[in-house]
Amino acid sequence: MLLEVENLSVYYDSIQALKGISLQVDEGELVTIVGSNGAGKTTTLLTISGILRPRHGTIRFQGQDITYLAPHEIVRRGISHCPEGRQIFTGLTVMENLLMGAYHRRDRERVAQDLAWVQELFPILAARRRQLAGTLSGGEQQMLAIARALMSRPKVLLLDEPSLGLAPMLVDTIFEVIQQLRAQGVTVLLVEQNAYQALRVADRAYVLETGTIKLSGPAQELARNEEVKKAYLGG
Amino acid sequence: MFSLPYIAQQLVNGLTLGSIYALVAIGLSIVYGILRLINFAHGDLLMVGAYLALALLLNTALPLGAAVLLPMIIVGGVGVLVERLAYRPLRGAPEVAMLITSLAVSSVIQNGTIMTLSAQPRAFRLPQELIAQQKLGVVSFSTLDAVSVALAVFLMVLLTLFVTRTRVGIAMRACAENLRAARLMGININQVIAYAFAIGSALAAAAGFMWAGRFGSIEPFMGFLPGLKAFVAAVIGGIGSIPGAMLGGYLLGFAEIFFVGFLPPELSGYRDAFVFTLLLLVLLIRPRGLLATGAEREG
Ligand SMILES: Nc1ncnc2c1ncn2[C@@H]1O[C@H](COP(=O)(O)OP(=O)(O)O)[C@@H](O)[C@H]1O
Ligand SMILES: [Mg+2]
Repeated sequence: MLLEVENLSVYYDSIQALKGISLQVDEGELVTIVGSNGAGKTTTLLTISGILRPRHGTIRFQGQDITYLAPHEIVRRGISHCPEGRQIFTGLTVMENLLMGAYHRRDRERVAQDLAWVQELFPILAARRRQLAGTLSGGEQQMLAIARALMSRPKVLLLDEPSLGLAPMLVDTIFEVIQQLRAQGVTVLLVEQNAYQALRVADRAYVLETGTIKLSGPAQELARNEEVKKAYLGG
Repeated sequence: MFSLPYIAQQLVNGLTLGSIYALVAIGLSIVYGILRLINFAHGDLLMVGAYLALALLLNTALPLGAAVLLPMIIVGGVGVLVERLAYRPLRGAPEVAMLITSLAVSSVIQNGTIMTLSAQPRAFRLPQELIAQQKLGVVSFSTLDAVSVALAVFLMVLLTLFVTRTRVGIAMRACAENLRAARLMGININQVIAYAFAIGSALAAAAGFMWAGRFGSIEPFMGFLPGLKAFVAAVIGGIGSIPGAMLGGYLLGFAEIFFVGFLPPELSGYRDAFVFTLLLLVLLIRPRGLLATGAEREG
């Protein structure tokens, strides 16, 4: 198992946001966590990345306990996080943003290769690389956010609501890229409110409701599940 | 009285004073940018730099450059140490806790200086080569003025290259904009913060030499006034922004000199009040300062 989350409980002061959730991601998988707003999806990813500290539970990566490592140590081990709401550095150029994604890497040649790789995935970024990131459109900013996260050459990529707030055509583009990444062997843990699209592309899925995993299984099975259809797929 | 040479002379004075304010403001601004900390102890590092410079001038035969450079290095280290001991344990605590801590650090440095060296002002005697008056056309200035301005500009160019061309420098700008995203990118923020303190403190030490040379004497509380003025300069420029700190520093330097130089002498006692009036005016028009960038930070 590449990434294992076991019995994770996370609190914001006295409010419990995660109530002992467990999930696994295997190498090469595209796993999704679906759930409505406030279910605890972002909290889950931020805890895996070391930004939030759990009160109980463990997070293992490649068999090693990483629960209390600093965020930069976690990135170094191979977990990269593309945060909700993009959070690109608007005052830095596109190229500088990408370089920040590769911050800990000293292998210049490989970094150069990966720069070429992400600009191939998102050709628009190549055209805009000298521009300040703040001048990009919303869709372009999302692409930059994903590309920046890929620049650490992660073993697993955490994607938090990459389609949020994008026009339908751009949503399709983003999901196409996610499938492309998967085909290239990048392991992805995708968090989405857009359950329809997420279940369509994922191998396996977890349904998160108010801090608890309600259902889990192959994505296609969940997409046919009556409860899921009712709650997340509009009937 | 307001002849061309006189105006030119005032411009030179403004440039000199502005250089000092800019150097001190940069340190306040980069630390604030990343930590949201108004570092009240910053001016005291300027004072430590001045004492170290005096010690080197009096007790060693080192070249003059060393009396500027060595205090910069040492005070840079002191800044890193202060961050490590006083501010880092408060990471994640409310901003007001850090603010109060910085006041405490300020008292510790001031009182530590008094206890080890006494509160008596000491003459800061410059070497002869810096006192010499130069003449350039109609304006005259001391070599110290020229060296101060040149050094300040040189250091600011270096800093600009650092934050635009190096990995850690770019990361410093990234941290100032969004600390959480910077952590998610694998940036070791403690390392970046240490760099920010080292650079800011070293610049304050350089300014300490210039300030001490300008006024000819030093004492343990001498950091307060330039610290305060530099804070005003940083806010005018847009605190958190490096170009803003430079702009604010020079604007304030010029404004202060012109206030003293062109208004009736009876008013010159009000120069500090004038500085704050200027601050209020700028903030009325641009509440976040002239060159403020980015949005307010969440979490
Ligand atoms: N910074 C915070 N402080 C307090 N409560 C929070 C904070 N962030 C999230 N929460 C709460 O935790 C729960 C889970 O939030 P979140 O993980 O953001 O959900 P999701 O990403 O699934 O929309 C929600 O009830 C939310 O209100
Ligand atoms: Mg969320």
